[in-house]
Amino acid sequence: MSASVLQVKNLRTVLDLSSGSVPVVDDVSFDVGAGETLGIVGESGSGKSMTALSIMQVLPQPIGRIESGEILLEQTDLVGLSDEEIAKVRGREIGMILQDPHTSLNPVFTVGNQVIEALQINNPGTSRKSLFGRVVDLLKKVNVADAERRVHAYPHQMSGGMKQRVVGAIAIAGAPKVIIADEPTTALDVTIQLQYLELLRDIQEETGTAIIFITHDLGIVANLCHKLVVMYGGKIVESGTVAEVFRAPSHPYTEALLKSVPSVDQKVDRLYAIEGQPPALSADRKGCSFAPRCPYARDICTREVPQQEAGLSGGDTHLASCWNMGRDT
Amino acid sequence: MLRFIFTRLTHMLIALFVITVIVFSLSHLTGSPIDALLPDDATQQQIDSLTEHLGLDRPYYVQYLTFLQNAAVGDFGDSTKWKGNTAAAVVLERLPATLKLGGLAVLISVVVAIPLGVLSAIWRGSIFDRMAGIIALLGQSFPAFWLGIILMWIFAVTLGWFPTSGYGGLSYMILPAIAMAWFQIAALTRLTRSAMLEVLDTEYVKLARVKGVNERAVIWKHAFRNAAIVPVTYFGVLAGSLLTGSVVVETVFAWPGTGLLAIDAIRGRDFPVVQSVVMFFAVFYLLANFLVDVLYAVVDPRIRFS
Repeated sequence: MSASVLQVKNLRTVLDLSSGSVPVVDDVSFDVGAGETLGIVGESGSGKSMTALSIMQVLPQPIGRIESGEILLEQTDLVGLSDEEIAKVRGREIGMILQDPHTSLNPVFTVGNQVIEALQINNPGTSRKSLFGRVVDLLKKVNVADAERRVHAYPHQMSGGMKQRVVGAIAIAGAPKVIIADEPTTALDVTIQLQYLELLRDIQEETGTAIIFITHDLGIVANLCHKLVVMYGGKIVESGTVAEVFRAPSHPYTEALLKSVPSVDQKVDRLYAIEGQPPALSADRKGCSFAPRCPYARDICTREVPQQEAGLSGGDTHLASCWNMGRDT
Repeated sequence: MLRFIFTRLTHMLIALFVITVIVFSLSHLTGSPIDALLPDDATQQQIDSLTEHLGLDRPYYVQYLTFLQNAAVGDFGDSTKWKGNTAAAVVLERLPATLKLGGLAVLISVVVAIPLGVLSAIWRGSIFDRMAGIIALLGQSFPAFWLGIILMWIFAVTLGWFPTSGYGGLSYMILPAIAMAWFQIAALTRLTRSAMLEVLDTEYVKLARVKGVNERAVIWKHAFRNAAIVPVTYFGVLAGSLLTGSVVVETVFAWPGTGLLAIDAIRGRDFPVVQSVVMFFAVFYLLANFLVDVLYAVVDPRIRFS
């Protein structure tokens, strides 16, 4: 793998709520290189989407803001860029695929129109007509069948899988260095999911783009990603290569997530579920945020925040934050 | 699309039928027209002969069918107040004045309310938003006749910028148009604001942003095009209420339109004219709403293709 294309350093994003500034992304660091796929894993509310929105700087307004940290695209820090400057990064340098294809395309424009718009942004000054052929090519590239005709279709005339392919076409229209895919397959049928993941992999092989894949499905991570970060309560609790983390999950939360993946070979009466609820947004938190749900929680877990240490696999890049690691279990 | 328009046209005809029944019934609910037409000391013979002449001795359904037949060609009988004219002619003569004033009021409403609503959605919570909220609140609290008198007092009587009342060019129209428009501005601003707030929160607006669309195009192209369906809906109500509003405002400003005509006709118990005015208002209202339905389809392809 080559040097990092995108490097996030100590990112901290807060929401200014009436109850105070609540951190939703807290001291998050990771990097991703060209041709590499990074998985960001966690439950709803773990801060994984907020991390993506922070990178794109489309946080919910007016309450969301990046408080500190750096987001380095190659050598440029995206934090603190003006609105015009960041708008130039979006689409051209970093593309994004959103979760629900049924709501992420504009219902009043044809899909061709929406792809052309993305192309026009990246090729200013070119006429719509001259881009038309490229739209069809792009749609073919993301395996939209009958692309010549579908160009003129409206989103409501297409299936979810087709729409998500169009969103993919929009994301790659600017040949970005990084694609952020925020649970792109969650709203799709299982069979379509697989096709879509293969499509992403093909695109990556062809263009060498870096992919940040946000999901709660560790099965997908094992299939698609090279490395992963596990997020809980806005923090990274464990990170490493897929091999390291799957071989020796070092944080109880990762362990629980792995247990929650149903296995095809084993018959079980009840699927495993993690007890309790993800932490509610609040300004003052003490200790490890997973402690209330953790079966191994001790006194210190509720008092002090655990520091990052080498994970149990012994791999170079494996890190986890847990007071109990290697001591108790 | 053609089927869509055809369905809407059918609905319009049904509504029109109901309206004719109501208009016809109303003229019979307010007492016999004979009493209004003949002096108090008329003989029974005079009453009978006029009743027969006007066909009022025939059964109601026959009277209704005759009414319908005549109404279809715009014949509502002769005006009893403006002698020598048909009722329809009296209304048509006053029509341009009302359309001019109503048109200006619609124009003012849209030009002021749409940007106000969109901008207060974008800058929600700002001072601009709060000011727009106050303007809306005032507009919805002021009755049009009161606002008309106050405007007249300030700008015509005290400052002398505009004529107080009467028929004439633009300078005569501005005060009554504002008096009519303010309430609509209030309603339209609020609707536009809430529709924009909802749309700005959608995933497709987020996708437009992440694909690099500049903020102005995000707002006016992606968001407003979707939010527009709400103000467009209100446009039907707007067109109708500007006509009904014209009754009040035209009276205050002595503007010789159909609104003032309606008041004069009611005072003079000129039923044919009242009927014509009501029928005209109703048809106008229906046409406005039909136009709105067609606009829906233009704005939203999901309606066009279903």
